[in-house]
Formats: sequence, C-alpha cells, structure tokens
Amino acid sequence: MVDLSVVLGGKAGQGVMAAAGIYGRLAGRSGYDVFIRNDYPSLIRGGHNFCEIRISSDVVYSSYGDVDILVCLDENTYDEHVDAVGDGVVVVDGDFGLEGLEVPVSSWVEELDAPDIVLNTGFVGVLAYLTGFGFDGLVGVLRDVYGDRAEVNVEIADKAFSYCRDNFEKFVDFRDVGGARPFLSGNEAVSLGAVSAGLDLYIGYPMTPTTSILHFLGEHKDRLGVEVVQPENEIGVINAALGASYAGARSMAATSGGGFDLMHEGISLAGISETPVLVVEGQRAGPGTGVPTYSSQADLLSVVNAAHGEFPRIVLAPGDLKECFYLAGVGLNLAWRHQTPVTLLMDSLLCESKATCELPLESIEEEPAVLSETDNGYSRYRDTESGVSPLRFPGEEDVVVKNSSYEHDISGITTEEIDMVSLMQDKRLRKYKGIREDLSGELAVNVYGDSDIGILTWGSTKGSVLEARRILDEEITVVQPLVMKPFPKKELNKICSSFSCIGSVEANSTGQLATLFTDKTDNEIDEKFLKYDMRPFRPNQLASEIEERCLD
Amino acid sequence: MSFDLETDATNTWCPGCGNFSVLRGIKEGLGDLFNKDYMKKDIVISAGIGCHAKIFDYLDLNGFYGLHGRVPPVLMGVKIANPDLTVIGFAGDGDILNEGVSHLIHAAKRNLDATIIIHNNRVYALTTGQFSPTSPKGFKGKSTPEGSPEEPLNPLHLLIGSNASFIARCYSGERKHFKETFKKAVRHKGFSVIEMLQPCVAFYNTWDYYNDRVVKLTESDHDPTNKQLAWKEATYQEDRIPIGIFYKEQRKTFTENLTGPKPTDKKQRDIKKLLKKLS
Ligand code: SF4
Repeated sequence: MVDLSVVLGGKAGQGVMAAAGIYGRLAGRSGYDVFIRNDYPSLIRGGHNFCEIRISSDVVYSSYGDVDILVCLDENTYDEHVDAVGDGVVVVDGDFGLEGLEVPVSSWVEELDAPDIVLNTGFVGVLAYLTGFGFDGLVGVLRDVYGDRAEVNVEIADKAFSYCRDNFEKFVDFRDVGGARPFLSGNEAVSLGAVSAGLDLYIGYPMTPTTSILHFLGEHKDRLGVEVVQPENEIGVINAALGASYAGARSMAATSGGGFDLMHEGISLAGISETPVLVVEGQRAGPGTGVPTYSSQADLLSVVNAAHGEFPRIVLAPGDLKECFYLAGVGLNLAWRHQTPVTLLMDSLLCESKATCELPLESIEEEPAVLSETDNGYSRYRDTESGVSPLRFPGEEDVVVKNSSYEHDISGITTEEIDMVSLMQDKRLRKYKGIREDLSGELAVNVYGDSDIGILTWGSTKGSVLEARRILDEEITVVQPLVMKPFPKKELNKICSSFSCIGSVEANSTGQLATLFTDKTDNEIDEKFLKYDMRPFRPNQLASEIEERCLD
Repeated sequence: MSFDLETDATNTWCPGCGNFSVLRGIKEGLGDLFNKDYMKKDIVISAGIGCHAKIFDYLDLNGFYGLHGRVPPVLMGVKIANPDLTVIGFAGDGDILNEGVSHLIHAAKRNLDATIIIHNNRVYALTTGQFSPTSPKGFKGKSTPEGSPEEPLNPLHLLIGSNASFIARCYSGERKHFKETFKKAVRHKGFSVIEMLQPCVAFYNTWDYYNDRVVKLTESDHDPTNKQLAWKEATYQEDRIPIGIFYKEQRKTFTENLTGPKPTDKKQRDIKKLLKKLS
C-alpha cells in the first residue's frame, strides 16, 4: 500500500488550489484515491493558502496533517509547515536560499517570459516526478484544464520534471494503475445529486462555503439543464425559489449560517404554504460573520429548529461525497413528495474539499410530484390521509392554485376559524408519518463496525473518525446519523443500547449532536470529543484520545 | 365584466376604504383583457402583508400570498419557472417601501416582466396606524404622537432612479382611469408599477385632500418617454397631484435576458459526460 500526505502552500493569488487540483486529478486519473483540503484565509492576495493532499492506494476519508512532501511556493509556507515534515522532503524555489530540494522554477518563469501564475504548474511538475507519475499523464491533465493556455504550462512543467529527473531520486513510486474516477468537491456532488432529482432552477447569493455551487451550476447549466440566477440577497433567494416551485420548477438554494438566518421567514413560509424547496446550508466557523473560510459544525441545533411555527421539517446531513450526491437527490425528491422545505446541512470542509469518488448515479432519479385529477375541481390544500395534497400548477386549464402564508382553508383562502386552523395544522404535521417512513433504516443512520464502543459523529468529521478507526488496534463502532430532523431515535436506540461506552466526535464547542442524541434517545453520551479550532480532527490524535478515554 | 373572479371570502375592508376601487378596477380590467388575448389560467397574483393584501382572497386567481415586502422575488420565481404566465403583484407602501424596498428596486433594475400595484395609503393600516415610508413629515401616528420626524419617500422617484420601465400613478377616486392604466401596465412587457393613491378612512382619510388636488396627465402636456419630465411631474405639489403614466420605455425583460435552459424546456441532463470531464 502506498499512502502519502503532501502540503502545497503559497500566497493567495499564486494558484495554490489550482495546482493542488491538477495534481489531485493526475493522481485520480492514475487510479489512486485522493482527498484535498483547502486552507485559506478570507483575502484575495497575499496571506497563506495551503492544501493538504492525501493520496493512497487504499480508500481515503480525510487528510492527515503530517507531511511527507512539503511544496513551498513562497518562503512563508516553509516557515509554517517545515516542523511537520518528519522523514519527508521539502521542495523550495531556487531563489529562496532555504534548505530542501531546490528547484529554480521562478527563474524559468522569467526565462520563458511567462506569466507569474505558471509558477504553480512548475511545482506540480516537481511533485509529479517525486511521486512517480508519468509526464504524459500530467500533460493530459494540463491540456484538459488549461485548453488554449496549456502550452506555457506544459513547457514549465516539462522543465521542472526533467530537472528533477536529472537531479533527484523519486520520493515514492505511485505509477499509473489506471481507472480514472471523477474528482470533485462536496458542492459539486450536491449539485449533481439535485440535478439527478430533476433540479430546474438554482438560485443563490454568494456566501462561503457554498458559493462554488453557484459557480459550478452557472458554468455547466446548459449541459445539466438548470437555470441559474443570483438575486439581490438571501431573502430574495428563498422567496424566488418558492415562487418558482409554486409554478412547477424544482428549485434549490444554498447559503451559509448567516444567509440561512435571513431565510428563516421564507422557510416558515414554505412550511405553511406547503411549497417544496431544497436549501443547502454550509456551516462555517463562528456566530455572526465568524471566520468565514473555515469549517465548523455549530449550526445543527439552530437548523433543526429553524424558523417560527410548527411545520414538518426535514434536515439531512451527508458526511462524504457519495452522501452529498445521494442526500441532495433524496432531499429534493422529499421536498416535492411531502411539499415541505428540506435542508441539506453541510460544513465547509465537506463543501470545499475535493476527492475522487464514484457517485451512485443510478440511486437517484426525478420522482413525479403528487398530482390529482381535476374532474371535481381542485383545492390546493385538500385534506388527505397522508397530509399531502395533490399538486397543480398555474397555467393549467380549469385550475386555480392558491398558495398562502396565512392560515387558509382547503382552497387557499385566509381563515381564522378555529376548526379550520386546527385541521390545517394537523394536516401538515400528519406528513411526519410518511416522512419518518421514508427516512428510516439505513438511510437514516450509517454504522461502521461491530463493537460495544460506539463513536457518534456526523458531517465531514466522519472522515477523520473512520481514519482514526483504522489506526486503532481495538475495534470501535462508528455511528453516523444522516437525518437530523426528524431525528432517527428508533434506529439509534436499537444501535446504541448495547454500547458500553458512547463517545461523540464533532466540530463544535458544546456537543450539539450529543445534545440532540441525549434529548431524543434513551442514551447518554459518556465522552465528548470536541474540536473548534476550525481545522479537521487529526486521525492520529483522535485515535489516541479515543483510546485513552473509551478503550481503557 | 364578463368573467367571474368572485371568491367565497368575506370582504373585511372598512366601508369607504380606497381598496374597493382597486378591487373593482382589477376585476373590470382583467375582464376586458380576458376578452382579448389573456386567459384566466395564465394569470398569477401575489400580495404582501397588510390591508392591501386581502385582495388576494377576493380574486379567484392563481396566486401566492407571500410575506411582507416579498412580492417581487416571488413573482420573479414564477416568471423564471414559466415565462408564459402573466404576473401581477399587490403591495402596500409600508410593505414594499420598507421591508421590501430592495426587492422593488432590483425587480425594476432587472426589468422583471411583472405589474405591481402599490396601494399607497401613506399609513400602516393593518397594524393600526403608525407612520409609513410615504407619510408626510409631522404625521401624527400611534408611534409618533409628536409627529413623524422623517421626510417621506416618493415611490415614483425611487422607481425612476431604479430604471423601472413603466411608471404610473392612479387614484382610488378615479376608478376608470385606474382600470385603463392597469390594462396598459399589464400589457407592458417589462416592470410596470402603479402607485395607487388609496385613502384609508380609518387611519388617514385623504379622500378630500386628493379630490381637491388630483389632475390627470394628458398626452398633450406630458411626454412619457422623457425621464426628466417624469421626475418633475412625479413630485407631489401642494396644489396639484398628477396621475397617469409618467414614464415608459421598451427594453428586454429579465426572463428574455436569462440564458440558461428554461424549466419548461425538455431537458438535456448530461451528468455522465460532465463527470468524465471532471476526471
Ligand atoms: S384600515 Fe384603512 S386601509 Fe385598512 S381596510 Fe380600513 S380603511 Fe382600508
């Protein structure tokens, strides 16, 4: 087995993430599993950006934090990370005068009279050589990524690759074993999941970490059959999404905690008017503006209780790319099946990290909405056993479709009558039965392992926990709820009742999953493992903490 | 009026309210339009929150009864989903000029093909009488017993500044004039807004005030393609309050400018090919 951790860093504006992306794609195309975490502050030029790249011939769930190869596009990267490089190598530019494999990339850039930005490609050339990938493969990726601008990139990569071949030993030999897999981010997986479930309209206002959904769908809208619109603010987003759903277009919106707060009244409107919509919430660090480009899992309790009033809420929380795809698709379908808002709760790490992944494409397809005959007239809010009324859209012959934010009667006219108000409230809440049925069993909770030590986790943190599990000698069972509302208490009670120790691993400071879990199930949490420094749990460290607190 | 737009809803407006003539003007105006090239099934209405919004219940039309100030984005969503629908929004002065003012400005700027009637009674009525964005300075309401400390906002000036492509003012006391203006607004391709001077008998009775001052802009003395003139005429004057079409221009609408696949299109969804590209 080959397994490698690379850190590639430089200033914002030097193309650090682009370089990591190209290298990641090269490794992915060569048949390896890749995971890349981007670490970048909220600025456009300067500062310190870096990517943690992990490549393995086995499955990878997260990055590590230890460094085998450190690639420095600037001197600061050296200072920041050199201590984490154990037996590994450090690559520096010839100009820096620092210790390591010196490669004169910047002087080639000058020599070629090339734009400064291609410095990054030079370092990808170095990295490709050091890790055993063939040059032809790299050229292929560069051509695909840069198109017309590829030549200068190929040229500099060639210089770097040849130079290293003449001067250095390879650090590790990955070789091409073939079998390219898609290489994508959580945001991209979410987009594709929603498209598979029939997404017609994406409507979004830029906010880290979900902005790239807007970019991705904007770029590929024709191929994917999606209209993409950026309105004036998040309140405009949610209301327009509801208007579109009302008129028959499947709509999705995405934002982060702050934008989601602004959307609350719209979510509540979706609840009472029974208008389907899928909203993606990508958590980032801190209340308020917080630390905008870093990750946390601190919005859970807020999101499961979001918006005023009582109405059926669905909150789904994927933990890896496959789940991003699958739950986005399930979420959009559920929104339409039950005519209620669905939130997909993500986190920055999950949204923006990139990894190789085979998406379960066949698992999602667009489900038709519940439509009725109109022979005997149509009532938008007809009372039914399931609580779900037949759906029709404006523009249809002999049908008047009235959605309303006021409490209303079956045809959508405002009412304040006692019986009607209770009837409508009952009708809406009755949907929970069907929702619970749809969200039961394996869809609700993932279980990895079969020991009596249970580790509860959710979202992107799952990746670190699964890595830690691999490190531990003793078996642990990782339990990952995928549904946060309605909380899968039945499943969790069944899974957790026999545990001798239950730990909870989450990226927040109060243990919100633990709170929800204790609240809803008959179990207590014995040990909380909390991290809120905005960086992922480091598998080694997590493994030893679990060992110390749960396995002794 | 040849089309029945009645619903079972009980009308709860105060007797004498200026909203009645809006309702009647709309019914009559739509009746005329339905006889020509519009069909009832293709009309979608939306309303904000306030006395104005009760009109939603009184019209047997497709619609989305939304939230305070949010009529423009709801209508935008409807238009994106199905550009063939004709969308009409009702809004109040408090509703769209406070909570929803950004939506209004942006809908104008993007020339959303929608008609919005702003029922401007210059007071918060449903919340029982506080000053609104259009109340005159010194307005004595329940929250400002000593008089409002703020200058009023002129909705038409705001709309001119936001590049609305059809800007008109009407008055509840001139129902026929409203009906004809409303029909033109609906027929206008682009963002059309009518500021409706709508007296509220309960909290700010302006019937006499307007009856004394309202004058109609005529074609001979007003050129509606002249923005500067529109600005000048839109100013409220002590003795003269013009009604009519102040400004109009023809330009591409928001949905015409969108470039993506329409939700109503037959879809190509080539995920597999895209994934190959991402490998
Ligand atoms: S309070 Fe004023 S606006 Fe409301 S219904 Fe009565 S008169 Fe009309």
